[in-house]
Amino acid sequence: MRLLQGVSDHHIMPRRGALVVSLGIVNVVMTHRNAYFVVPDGADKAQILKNSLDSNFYTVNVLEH
Amino acid sequence: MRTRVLCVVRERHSSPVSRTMSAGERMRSLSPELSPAVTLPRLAGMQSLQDGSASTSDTLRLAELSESLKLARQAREQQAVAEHIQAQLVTASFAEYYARRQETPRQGEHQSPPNGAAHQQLRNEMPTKQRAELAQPVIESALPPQADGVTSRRRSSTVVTGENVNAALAVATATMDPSPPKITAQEDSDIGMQSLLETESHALLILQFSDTGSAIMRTDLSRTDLLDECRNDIDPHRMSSSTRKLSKSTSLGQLAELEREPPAHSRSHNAAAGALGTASLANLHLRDLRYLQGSAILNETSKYSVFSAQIY
Repeated sequence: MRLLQGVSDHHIMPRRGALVVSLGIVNVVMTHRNAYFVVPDGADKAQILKNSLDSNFYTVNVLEH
Repeated sequence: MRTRVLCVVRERHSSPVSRTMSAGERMRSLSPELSPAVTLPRLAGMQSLQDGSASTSDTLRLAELSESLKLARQAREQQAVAEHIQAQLVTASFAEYYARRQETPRQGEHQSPPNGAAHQQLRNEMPTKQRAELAQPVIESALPPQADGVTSRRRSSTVVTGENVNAALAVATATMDPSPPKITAQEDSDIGMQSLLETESHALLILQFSDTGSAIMRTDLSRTDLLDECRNDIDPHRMSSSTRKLSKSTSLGQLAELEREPPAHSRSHNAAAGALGTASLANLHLRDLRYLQGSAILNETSKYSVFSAQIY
């Protein structure tokens, strides 16, 4: 049934020990250790994404501590 | 008989023209093959005979001969005009036909001349030099455009002689015919990409963030490798990825194992299976990653620009 769904829809699919997030622009598999962002091929803005997420991670860590 | 009469006339008037003319020369002068520059003075001389006391039959004969000469001259002029008009028509027909082919070469490929037989007849009737003059601009335009002066000099010095004009026309026609469609390198690479995606061995571009906040860009993970990494994160007790690293040529049996749903057995059974390295606690499957990647590819053009704008 899942294969018949349109891939343009946004989904958050919980799995055991993982969370699959497909929000169009953000496609990520999150575990308790890592977050794997699937970047489109040829995306030259990936470094911008990395810097942005780096700063957000830093902000979150600072706020948590 | 008439020659004798003319001899009498010659004796009477003793004109210089008639004195120098023999009977054979006179007959030749009346024939239409001679040029008017020669025959007209002679006729003028003969006309002068009419002023005298020439006989009536001789005068009638002279008038008849001059009339026939005039008619022959008119016929020759009409023939020359007809040949000129025919040559102009042939030239215009060829020029129009090749101009049309140059303007629309693809349509001209399927287009034959208005009627093939008439075209061949025109080609046969056209003088060789004229065909060479027509073929020259066609060949020049069929050659690829070159900017260097050497090539242009070489092209301008190309001379199509009368003997090879048919071959030149054939070469020009063959050059203008478009080549059959070929598979481009882009299509070939697309086919290769599709097969790689089908075998799950296509390397993904992955931005991996760890729990410590460090981020790395990875291009060495295929979809099956990513699934293996995720399952290792979920179930750290299963066999390490270094020993269970899938090869590039993943077999269908290994893919089936990755696709297989974990059995809904007791936790102890799963732990035992995990110890053997044949199963995992995770219900994360390859189809989830396919869905994820498909969504990423679909939103590559439409939404990634929006995302980058939001980052700024």
